[in-house]
Amino acid sequence: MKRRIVNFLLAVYAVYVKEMKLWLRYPTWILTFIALPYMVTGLFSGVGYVIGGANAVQNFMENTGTSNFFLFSLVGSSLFMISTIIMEDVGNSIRAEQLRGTFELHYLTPTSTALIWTAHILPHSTISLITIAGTLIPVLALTEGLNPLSIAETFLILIIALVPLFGISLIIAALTVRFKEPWAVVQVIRALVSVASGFFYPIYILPEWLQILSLALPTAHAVELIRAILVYMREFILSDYRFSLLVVLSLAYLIVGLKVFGRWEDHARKTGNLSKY
Amino acid sequence: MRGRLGTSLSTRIRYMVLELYASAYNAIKTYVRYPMWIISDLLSTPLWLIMIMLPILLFLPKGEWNNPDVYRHFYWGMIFWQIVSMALWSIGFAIRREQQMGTIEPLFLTNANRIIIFAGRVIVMGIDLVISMIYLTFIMAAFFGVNISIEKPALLALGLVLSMLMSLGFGAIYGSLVIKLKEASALSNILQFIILGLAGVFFPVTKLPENVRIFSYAIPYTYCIDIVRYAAMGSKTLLDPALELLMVLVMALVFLAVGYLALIKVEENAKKTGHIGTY
Repeated sequence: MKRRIVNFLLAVYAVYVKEMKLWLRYPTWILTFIALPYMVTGLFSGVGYVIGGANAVQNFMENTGTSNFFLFSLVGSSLFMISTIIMEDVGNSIRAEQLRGTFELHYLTPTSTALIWTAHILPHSTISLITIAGTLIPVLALTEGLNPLSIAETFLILIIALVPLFGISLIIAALTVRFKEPWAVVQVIRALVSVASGFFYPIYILPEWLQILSLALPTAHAVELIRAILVYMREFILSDYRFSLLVVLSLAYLIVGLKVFGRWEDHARKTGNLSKY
Repeated sequence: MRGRLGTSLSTRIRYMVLELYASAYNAIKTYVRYPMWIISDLLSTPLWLIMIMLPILLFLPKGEWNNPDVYRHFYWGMIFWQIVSMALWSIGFAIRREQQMGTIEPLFLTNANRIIIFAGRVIVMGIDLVISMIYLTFIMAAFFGVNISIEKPALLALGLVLSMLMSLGFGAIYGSLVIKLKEASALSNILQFIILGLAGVFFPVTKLPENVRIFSYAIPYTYCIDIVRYAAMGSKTLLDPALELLMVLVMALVFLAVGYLALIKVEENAKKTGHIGTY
């Protein structure tokens, strides 16, 4: 038993080190991820100010319920950034193994491939958390009325929100290795998830069909919960229906992701498509 | 191998056209190899449009969310965004791709014009731009009930072509940096937002605070989008329209020339240090 646990941890460690090495080879990316939410916030609020004129902030307040458009947008854009990182990069790591010709080799090791691919969430989550911390800590430090408990609650919601994103990334990985060209599939899924999650605006302003879709997206609930804590300074309660939905949907997405990827894997093994791309 | 010196102008032009044809053929063939890309563009464009427009509309009273003028500014902003992306992602990305595929060295062994080698991607992006214009016009009418009309079609076409040529030159300068930096995607992302914000891609720069406007005036794209908006919507220009058009033309030529020289210089340097194919 002890041996199995050690082997399990060694496999997770190996994946972690490999992926972190790849991330740290291009450190400018991490800086970009930290800077991009500021850029997006600057662009949206800059254009908003220009077209809204003297009443821009007042209009924003009436439409969103807060005049702190900077924090409102920054929270949304950093969550958008981490959802992009997880959705794109977990799938991309798997795809990259195929392109490099190392994908099949994983199936020759005694380690479960389910464990190998699942372990990919850890390095990408590390980068995501570094990104969100680097983006939000300077702003939150200057925000009055926030207590350490709010930060801890945000962290909890974030960790839960990463789980369904991993499920989506596994579906993306399965689709991309099946259909060969990754970015096209990723772009449509990413666009749909990004628009319906309300990263940059309240969900209620979306067209009705997108509002219905957003109910099924865990990211939409995570954004609303985190925004409620950090922007609207509301108390977080565990019995909040959005939190329950987030937990249920997170598990559902993870299970569906693992199932879809598993099905593709089985199919690829039988048809000899494992290494074709 | 054919020589450059001693050939007549017509022969040199013929060679350049052949090089351009080969480059475009390669780029278009790669583009249509994955039809999923085209489908993906068609599906995701309206979604991205919604995601960019909604947070900005929050700064307007609800009653003005249907103002067609706001949508027209967005439309031309989205079109021009593609031209800015062309500069940052065309040649730089093409060089990086050739490096990754291991074909950069054979390409640099030919005596083809260095800008034209990588210009194929710009042609694909040009085709993409035309498709986007038609498609976004349809989206604007279908989703938002806004008709996109063009006040001066010939001037608009000229403005867009000159802007694309400037992007090609800018892309060559930037691409030469890519040979040095190896991984420039991060820088491209940041630069893109700076240009979009300061060059007034979505709104006239005259609405920016005066001290910020100084930076806007230093960005060549400010004048390109200004002339494009004037031709499309009849909006007021920063300078006299004829002068502004001449300025855009001169800038496009200067950028093309400097871009060409930059690519040659960096290539020479990379050949000497043996870093041409490393990435």
